[in-house]
Amino acid sequence: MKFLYPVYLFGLILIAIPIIIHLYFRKKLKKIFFSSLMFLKRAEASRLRWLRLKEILILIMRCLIIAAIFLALARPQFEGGLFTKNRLAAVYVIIDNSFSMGYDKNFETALNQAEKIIFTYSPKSVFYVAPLCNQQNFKPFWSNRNSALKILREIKLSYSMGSLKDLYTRFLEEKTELPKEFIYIGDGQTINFKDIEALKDFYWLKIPIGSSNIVIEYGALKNPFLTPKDYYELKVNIKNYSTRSYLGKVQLVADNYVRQQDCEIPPGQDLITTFSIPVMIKNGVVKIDGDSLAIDNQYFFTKSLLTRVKVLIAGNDEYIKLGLSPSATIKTPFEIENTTDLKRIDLRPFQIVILNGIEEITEFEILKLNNFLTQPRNGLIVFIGPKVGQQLKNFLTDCGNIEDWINIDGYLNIKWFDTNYEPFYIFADNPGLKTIKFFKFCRITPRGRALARLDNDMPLIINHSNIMVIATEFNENNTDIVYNSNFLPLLHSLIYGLINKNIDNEFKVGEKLLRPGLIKGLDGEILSEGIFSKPGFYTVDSETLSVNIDPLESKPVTISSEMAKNLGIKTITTESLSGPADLTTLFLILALCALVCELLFLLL
Amino acid sequence: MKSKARYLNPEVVARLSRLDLKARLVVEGFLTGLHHSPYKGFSQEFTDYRPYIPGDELKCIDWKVYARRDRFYVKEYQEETNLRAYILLDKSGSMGYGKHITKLEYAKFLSACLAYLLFKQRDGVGIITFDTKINDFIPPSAKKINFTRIIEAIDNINPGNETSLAQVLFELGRKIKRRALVILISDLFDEPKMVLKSLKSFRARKHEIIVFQIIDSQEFTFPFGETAIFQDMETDENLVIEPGAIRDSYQKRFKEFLNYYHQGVLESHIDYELINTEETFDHALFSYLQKRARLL
Repeated sequence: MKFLYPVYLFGLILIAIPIIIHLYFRKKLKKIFFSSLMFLKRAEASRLRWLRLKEILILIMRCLIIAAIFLALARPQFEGGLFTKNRLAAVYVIIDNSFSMGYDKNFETALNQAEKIIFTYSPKSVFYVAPLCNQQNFKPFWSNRNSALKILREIKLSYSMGSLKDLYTRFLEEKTELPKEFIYIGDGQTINFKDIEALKDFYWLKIPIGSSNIVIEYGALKNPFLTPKDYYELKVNIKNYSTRSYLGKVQLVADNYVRQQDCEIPPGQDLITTFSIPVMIKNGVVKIDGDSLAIDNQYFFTKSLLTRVKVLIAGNDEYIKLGLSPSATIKTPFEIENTTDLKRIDLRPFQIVILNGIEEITEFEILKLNNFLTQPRNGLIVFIGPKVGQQLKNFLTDCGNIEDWINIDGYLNIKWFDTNYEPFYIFADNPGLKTIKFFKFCRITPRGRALARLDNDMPLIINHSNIMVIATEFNENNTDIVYNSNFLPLLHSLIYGLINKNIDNEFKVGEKLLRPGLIKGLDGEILSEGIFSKPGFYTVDSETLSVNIDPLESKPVTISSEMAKNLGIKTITTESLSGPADLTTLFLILALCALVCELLFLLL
Repeated sequence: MKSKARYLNPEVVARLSRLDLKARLVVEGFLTGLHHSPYKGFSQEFTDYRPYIPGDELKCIDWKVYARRDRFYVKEYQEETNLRAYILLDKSGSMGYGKHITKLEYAKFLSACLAYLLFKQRDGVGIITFDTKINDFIPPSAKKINFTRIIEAIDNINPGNETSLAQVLFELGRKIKRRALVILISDLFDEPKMVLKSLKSFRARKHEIIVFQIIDSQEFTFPFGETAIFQDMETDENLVIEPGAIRDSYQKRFKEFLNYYHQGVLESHIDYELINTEETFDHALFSYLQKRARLL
């Protein structure tokens, strides 16, 4: 505590006056000789203690009045205890510019607080000012106070999430003679502290997060494996993270096509609403009425609807062809060709190549297939036959180690399906596939993801990247699947499981476009690095891409004080940094209160 | 007559120097105020004649005087009794309290007056002074020398220590063997239950008791204003008191204290007079004479 006019503190000597008066009058109190105190004592017994106490309380109140008045005149100033002034240190000042800081004026507050913090240090201190997100566009360096303040003002609110891990690791590695301090200014979302185990010299200036966020979490095709005729359905998931019910409108805007729905979402719950959209409209925006964090209130979608898929079958094509295109009257989205010579055929028009029971492939064919699989929307399905050559085994080694062909007495069924694999979700409530009999199959030790297993726990379907390996050949001698009604859905799921990757041209802020091409924003901005920095529509080679924020940041989940304590974080609040507080009014109020108390005591 | 009656006022009496003189003046002042006193005429020794009044017994008419004067006169005699009276005078510290005159002074005058009255009526009178214990003990006698000793003893009394009234009364109960009239003059500032018990024990020994409870008016009203240190006159104990705050409570308790005695003595057939030191002496003397009349 400091005093602007400490000379007034001499006035505190006057506290002695009421004490002296008290003692003087106590000494000068008139003495009355009375016949007997017998009745007085009885009458006084209960009041006597109170009277003595009252006398002392009145004296205290009088002293307090004088003390408070003179302390108020001295203009006391209180300074926060954690950040003492003029400390000399090397300080990391990290501003949380993740989009959750867009609540109200949280980001501006963070910048202002950072400025205040910087001013609490000695001018000889050095600062490393950096944002939490979009660090790739930011070149921080150790700087003096003025440069630090300048850098601070260059930090803008980001559309992405951030992690403190890299920054803190760098901080630990810093070599400086000055004492090091790491100050994180932000809302403290749990995800910001991901993969951090323990922190030292870490201060968190807590900016309170908003609690009324509504977010569009995603927009997805209701049935991505159907070829829509006139309309397709887009399901939109809206989450209410607020503690109050949300009542508003959800709007879909695509070119001139506008649809609007009323929605009511109880606190903490999701709402999945569906829009029917004409097939010619592939992209648009879903919006909801705004809350203070408007960034996550819109969702840019670009949907690639299912078109005809060209499939090449090498090997036994009888049943697979039957499965993909049962008859001329049934319209399926597959265009099927078969070949007996993989070397000679041009694979470029095809999206799916199926090898059914092929014993061996040549090196040239491997080269061709590898080249074919570099395209992200292409896929290879391999049905393992009774004999597998070494080169084919090597080619499929990423999926698993193909061992020996097993003939069993009797048959096995499918025991388990990975319904978390999205194309297989249609089998979740369908036990029909588990009745399919398998008479012969290949033992494979999987390296890739096993999507289905047989009764003896051996893998039936293994996936790695855009290759799918099935541990049996599709013919009537190995399995009766060819007669099963689930044959067609299984083939469809296998194919769309492979080609559906990146079928939607949708990205998240911070992601990078892997394929080459000039990325242009709709406002003409060109992304040279290929990293999407803000949500919206982009074009690559006349193809439209949509970019959205990651809704994970929209969840208002901050680290608990217990977790902060466990991590070793020293939490500070904006109040403790609000600079020296003038306590004059407080002392004046105290004097007034003491006066009122004294009057009350006198009346009692 | 009027000049003698003024000696019934305690303040006037207080200005007189000799106690025997005080007593004489008071008693005479008192007696001259009694018209047609019924308290004369019981003695066997002739004192005076007085005209016959209808209602007087015929045997009292002096026929010789009638023969000479042709008027009826009745003979008056000086009383001769075997009444033994003890005056018990409390000289404890609390008796030293008083606004104009102290309770002890009042009690001393009253004792002297009663002694004089008793002496004059040829009753045996003695005095006992006490605080925590018995200080003076003069046995009852109708001789003049005894009266002089009593007056001297009363004159020399100063306020003493604490009161142990009940204890002293129990002790006296054992000492006074013959039936007697016991006149207790005290403020009775002791444990009322015990005091009443001791008085009852007197009654049980067939003694007649008159209790004069002497109280100062300030003890009734508690008129003090400012906060002050109150010192107990018996124990010297100090207490800082804000009188205004406790006045009602004090008055209530004091009244309860007096009522307790009043009720207690009534039940025990003990004569009791509450006397304020501002009252004249005739009130006390009158009540004594009433008692005496009942006894004889």
